[in-house]
Amino acid sequence: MQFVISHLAKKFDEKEVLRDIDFTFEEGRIYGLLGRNGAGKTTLFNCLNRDLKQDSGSCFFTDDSGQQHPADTGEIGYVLSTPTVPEFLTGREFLKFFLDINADSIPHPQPPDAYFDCVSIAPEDRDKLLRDYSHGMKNKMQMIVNIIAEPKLLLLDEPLTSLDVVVAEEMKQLLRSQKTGKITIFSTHILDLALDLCDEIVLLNHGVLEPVEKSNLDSQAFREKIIAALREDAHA
Amino acid sequence: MLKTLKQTFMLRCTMHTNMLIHAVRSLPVLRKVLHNDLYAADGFKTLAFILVLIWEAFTTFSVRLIYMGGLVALPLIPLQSDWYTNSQLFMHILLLLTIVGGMTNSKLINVNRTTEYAVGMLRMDAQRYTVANYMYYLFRLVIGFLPFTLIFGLIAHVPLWLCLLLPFTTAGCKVFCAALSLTCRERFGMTDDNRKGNILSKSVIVYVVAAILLGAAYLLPLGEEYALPMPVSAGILLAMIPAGLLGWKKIVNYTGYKELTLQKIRKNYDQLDRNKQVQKTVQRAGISADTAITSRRRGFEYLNELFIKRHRKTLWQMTEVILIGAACVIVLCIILMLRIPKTRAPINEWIMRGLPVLTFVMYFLNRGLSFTQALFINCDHAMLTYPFYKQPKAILRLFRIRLREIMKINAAPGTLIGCGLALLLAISGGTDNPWNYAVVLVSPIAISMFFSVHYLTIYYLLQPYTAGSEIKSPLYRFITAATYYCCYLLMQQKLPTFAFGLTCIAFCVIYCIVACILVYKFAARTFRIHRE
Repeated sequence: MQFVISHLAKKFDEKEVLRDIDFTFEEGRIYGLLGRNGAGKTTLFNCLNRDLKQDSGSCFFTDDSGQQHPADTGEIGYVLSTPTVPEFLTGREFLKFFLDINADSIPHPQPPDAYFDCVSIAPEDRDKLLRDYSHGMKNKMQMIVNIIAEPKLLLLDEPLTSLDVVVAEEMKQLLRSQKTGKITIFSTHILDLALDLCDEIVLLNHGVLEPVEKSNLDSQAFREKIIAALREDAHA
Repeated sequence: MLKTLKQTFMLRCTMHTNMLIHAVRSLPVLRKVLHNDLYAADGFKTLAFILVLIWEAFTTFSVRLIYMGGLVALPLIPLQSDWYTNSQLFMHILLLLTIVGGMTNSKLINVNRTTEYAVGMLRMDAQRYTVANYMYYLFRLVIGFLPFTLIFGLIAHVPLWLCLLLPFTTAGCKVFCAALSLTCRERFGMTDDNRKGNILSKSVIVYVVAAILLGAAYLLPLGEEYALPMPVSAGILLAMIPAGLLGWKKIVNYTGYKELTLQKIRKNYDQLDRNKQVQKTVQRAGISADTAITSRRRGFEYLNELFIKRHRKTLWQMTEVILIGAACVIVLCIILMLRIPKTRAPINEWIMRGLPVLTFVMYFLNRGLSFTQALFINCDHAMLTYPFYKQPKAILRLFRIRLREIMKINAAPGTLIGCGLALLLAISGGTDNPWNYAVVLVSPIAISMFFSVHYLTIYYLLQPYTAGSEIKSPLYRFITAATYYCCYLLMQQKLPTFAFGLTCIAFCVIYCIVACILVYKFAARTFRIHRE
């Protein structure tokens, strides 16, 4: 499976944030999306998730036989940097509701506690209102939903930036374990995190996506190459 | 000083001009036509600048017209007496109001957005800024007052020379009070912030004295038929001119403006943050933490039932208060009619011709706005980030469930008011046409249905909230304001109950059908978090 972005463009007034983007993402890989402040990473995610209408272009999946079908919102999972969960529900109620609603599309549903165990949410926290969850726990709840829904494309907008080191490590492990069968695009400002977690690095430069080839470079040389590419952007 | 004044004036004009351009650009159609370079377009900037100048001139005079006309001249009519002359009463009220104004609002440290930019961000010299702007304020005060002290003063037979001097006395009083406030601050450490719990702090004393003087301005002539003798009020007012000149020295030489201004700027920022947070906090605090609350339903009905049960306080408590209030009014009217039979005729007449007032009453009693607000802040804001929740089927399913809930909440007071009106109509003498009972009974219910559908429809079709839970849709604001004005205008009408009620019911039914069709057609596209 591939996820293809074709001629995607978006501008705000006269400013072209995304310019005729053409890119193909491969299944089973985690892509680190890097770009400078204001480069348009969140805009790109919002367009892919249909929260923002693009000016032109399209996104679609191609299966192994080469057949294309347009990306449906149900096939895309989006985890925001600031986790948003319905605060009037308990963790368990939220999961129960989600499992109920998506009963037809979840192939092997498990009891809620199995999912809580998967992301290490303690039993005593499972029946608390989500309002009283910590930032990290809310983030885990967002991740659970995306684990259950098994979206073909998972967009992560700086999800680990404000987590403590333990939770961040847990989340990294979780993302690695879940990458099979889906495409994960991970936006971040932190180069070390991208290098540690991601299989591929993609830069958003001048409104277009550019892969950074690692070739035979060691990690230091690769890092310098990425920074040099981002610097070029500043002088452009 | 003039340079500082010019810089401040240019800053304020630039700010207002840009705000005007921003407002014009946020209109749906114009946004596509007018681009960002408008901010750099000289022609449009000049036009906006002229509009800002016109607004500055308009406010210079309009505020003083309202003050002099509404608070000084207009009360002369009901307060006329043989015990004093009109000019005496005019000077009595003006003197006391001038002192109250000077004490409570000297306008010296007037921290607004221009101050925040000029002193807080651009590091303009606070002393020069304050003094220059105070001079400008006093100039506008004198110019703005002069025509109206002349017009209203001469009508009240105040001598011309005194009318010409009155604006200067007001300015003198402001300056004197401002200087006095700076002295108190320096000598006794008094502040205008009474949060420290010191009951002798300046604001408490000032507001107690101000309340007494305000009472004396109107209640003395009204109750005691007394007004200060003309020489006394004129003498005190004229004495404010030299007092002001003396105070001016203090104002020019005071050195603590920077500290004072920065303190107030910080306080303003804190307040702004608090105001933004308060709405979210109020909504979030409304969630019940009762763990006994559960639901046996499934799917969206499960989500809805938990939402309603956990928000019972927010959604139903006010409705219960409304029900009790409405029941009390109805019972009081019944007692009144039974005890004092002559009240029956006017009540009957009101029910038979005054039903349009009901639209305005129902507008205030309806809970549509707070319902949709709670829906967004505590539920949809989060849920709309999940793909399954944005599926057309899910949106429409939940719309139906929510429509049922908001109708229940609004229909309760509507039904009570309808039954109450029908009962009052019967007790007050009845009507020849029995259909009037049905119309009076059904109209409030129909209006409550209308408001339920109306608020939920515009919520689904315009989804006015941003990701930060702020209402930014100009169209939503326009529609809610238009709803208010339509109800207000209807209230002014006297129409036969039967005709009005039937039209009203028909309109509500048609509106509900059209609104639901629109939601079914467009909500799947429009019900989104706006990230633009």
